[in-house]
Amino acid sequence: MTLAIAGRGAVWLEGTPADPAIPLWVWLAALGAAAIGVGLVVSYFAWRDAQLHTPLERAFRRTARRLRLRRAERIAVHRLGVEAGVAPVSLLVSRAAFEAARSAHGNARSLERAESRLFDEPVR
Amino acid sequence: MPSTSERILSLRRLAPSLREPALVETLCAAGEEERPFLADELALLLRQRLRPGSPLAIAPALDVCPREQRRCLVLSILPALPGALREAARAAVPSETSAALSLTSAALGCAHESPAFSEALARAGVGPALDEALDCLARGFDEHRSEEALEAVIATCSAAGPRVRAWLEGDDEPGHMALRAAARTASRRAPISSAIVWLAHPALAGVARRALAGGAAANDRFDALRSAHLLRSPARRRALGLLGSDHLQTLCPIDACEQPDDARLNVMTSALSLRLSDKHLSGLSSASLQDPSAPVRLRAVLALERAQTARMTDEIASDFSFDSDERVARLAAGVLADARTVSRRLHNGASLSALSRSPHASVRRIARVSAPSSNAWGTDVPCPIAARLELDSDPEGFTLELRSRLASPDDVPQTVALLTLADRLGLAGAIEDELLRLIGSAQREVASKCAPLLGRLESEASGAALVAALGADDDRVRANALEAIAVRRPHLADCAAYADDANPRVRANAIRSLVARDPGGSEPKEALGAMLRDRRPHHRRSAIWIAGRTRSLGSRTDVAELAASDPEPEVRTRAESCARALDAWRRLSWTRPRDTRLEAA
Repeated sequence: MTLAIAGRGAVWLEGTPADPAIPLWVWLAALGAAAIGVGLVVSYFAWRDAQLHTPLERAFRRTARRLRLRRAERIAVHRLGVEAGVAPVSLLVSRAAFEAARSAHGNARSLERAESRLFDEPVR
Repeated sequence: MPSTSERILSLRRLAPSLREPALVETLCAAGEEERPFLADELALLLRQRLRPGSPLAIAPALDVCPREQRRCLVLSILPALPGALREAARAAVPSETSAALSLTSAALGCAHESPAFSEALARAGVGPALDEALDCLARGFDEHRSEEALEAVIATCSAAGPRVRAWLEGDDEPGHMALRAAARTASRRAPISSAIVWLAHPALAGVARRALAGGAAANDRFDALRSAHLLRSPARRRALGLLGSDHLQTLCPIDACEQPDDARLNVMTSALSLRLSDKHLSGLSSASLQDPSAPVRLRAVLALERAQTARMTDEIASDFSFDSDERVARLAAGVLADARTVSRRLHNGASLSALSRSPHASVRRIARVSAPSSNAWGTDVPCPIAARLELDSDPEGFTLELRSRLASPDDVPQTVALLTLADRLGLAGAIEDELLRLIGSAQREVASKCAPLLGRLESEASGAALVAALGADDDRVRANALEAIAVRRPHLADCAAYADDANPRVRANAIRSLVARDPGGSEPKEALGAMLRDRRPHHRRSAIWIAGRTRSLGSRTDVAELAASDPEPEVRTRAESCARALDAWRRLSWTRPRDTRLEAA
């Protein structure tokens, strides 16, 4: 691709893209519009998340993701928290809370894995 | 295995708005070992980012926090605490009420534990907010029905703010019945340790009385008396006075010798404040004779001073006056020396004589000054007891000596003392010549002292001397002469002529005699009213004295006006006191047959 300057002062990229009739500012505008669109979509989902979930729920999801719990483990821990009447995020942080809840309400295998991941492996 | 702190640190990547609830919920669910770390993390977050709603949000965590961390948390939320407390108390929503209670109890608990923390709370202006919150919670009891609110009020009633105090002292507060129920529950839980504190509040006084009078164990009673110093408060004494003497005696048992020093001291301190029988007070003092603690013995002597059983008091005081502790011995010697009657002073004479060899200088001084002298004329100021004894044994000789001393007076105080002695011994008639001479003395103290003595006589010469004294230059002599005439010989002069005298005392004596002579008359009433409204403060003060002495219920309005608006503080104080006395007299007169003369006055 080579840069060519036309007689009327316009800048053209020779070779690709195929259609040299689209000016650069249009590309830049399209890029900006795409960024804004992505931002809007992200904001919408963040807003929707905030509307649909409580701060505790969001804290649980983010912490669980950060602690690299798998989907099944995350669901199991969340269910355990709901059944035990404890905020699920507490089960991710407090070993005592996790053990108390598990001894009373849960013995699923995914919980075993989650416990092992949460309390027996170094936090990354 | 990752440590607790590492897991907690994993929450730091969350936004603060998510971290706060996550930490609070985790703190509530965590084990004992994890809570300090979580609380520290929460305190750190609150210091970095404190929202107005943070105090209420973290309130559930305060209930489960260890003591140190709870203090840190309260300090972290201190700037937002007053606003949050007010908002929560006003909201009257159960969750916010509960949060306000948690915050209140945490703040009060921390303040109770640490004076420095208490100062920090005061600096942050939390005190009024706490007061307001508790007040709102107490007044809104019917809406939230939270007994914890009333328990918080009970727990803090000793240091209640103005609003809670007003609620406690209110007459018809809807929450008082529930308050009493909560207090009864609290008194069953922690027997009667706060009962004396509660006595100051009418809403709780009944529960406190029942707790103190009930069949509490002896140890619980001694525990309650730890606040015995609070019984000096008139309100508490009044409240406790409604208990029968049997209960009061049970509260201050004589057989407390086996108890520790503090308990014995508290018993004696209580005994000084309660209305115990003289016999019980003497018994308490007697039982404390051998007490190893000097403060207990000191209070025992004070209790003895209050007991009126004279002979028994003197016996025990005599024992205490030889105490090894100087304060105890001095106080006991003072009790012996203060005996009023001749028989008691003669009885105490031997003890006081023996006390002249006391190892304590102050006791020896009291003994030297107070021991009855064998010779009435041995000292500059005659001893009344020795004088009475000498008068009994040799009336003529005593009178001659008295007259000779008055004939050639050495100095003014001695002459006044001799005249006072003659007055006490009823010898005015025997020294009439000296009185007639001395009333013209240039010494105003001597001349004024002669006037009341001459007033006791009925001779013409004495009457003439009194009338002449009405024209004396000195106001004090004139006032005493007018008083003597008004009280005993009113026919000698027209008191009404002095009702406008420039001297307040002379004028007061004149008006007083007018009121006494004709209580319902218009002239005395007008004269007293004019004096009460006089522009001179001394005259108004004397008029208040007349109103009080003659119990002039008709002048109650004028006196009350003076109490409310007189520019002179002293006049206002006296007027307030007089108005109270008149009110008391009016109430008293309701229980008596109607006295039309007083009502008219």
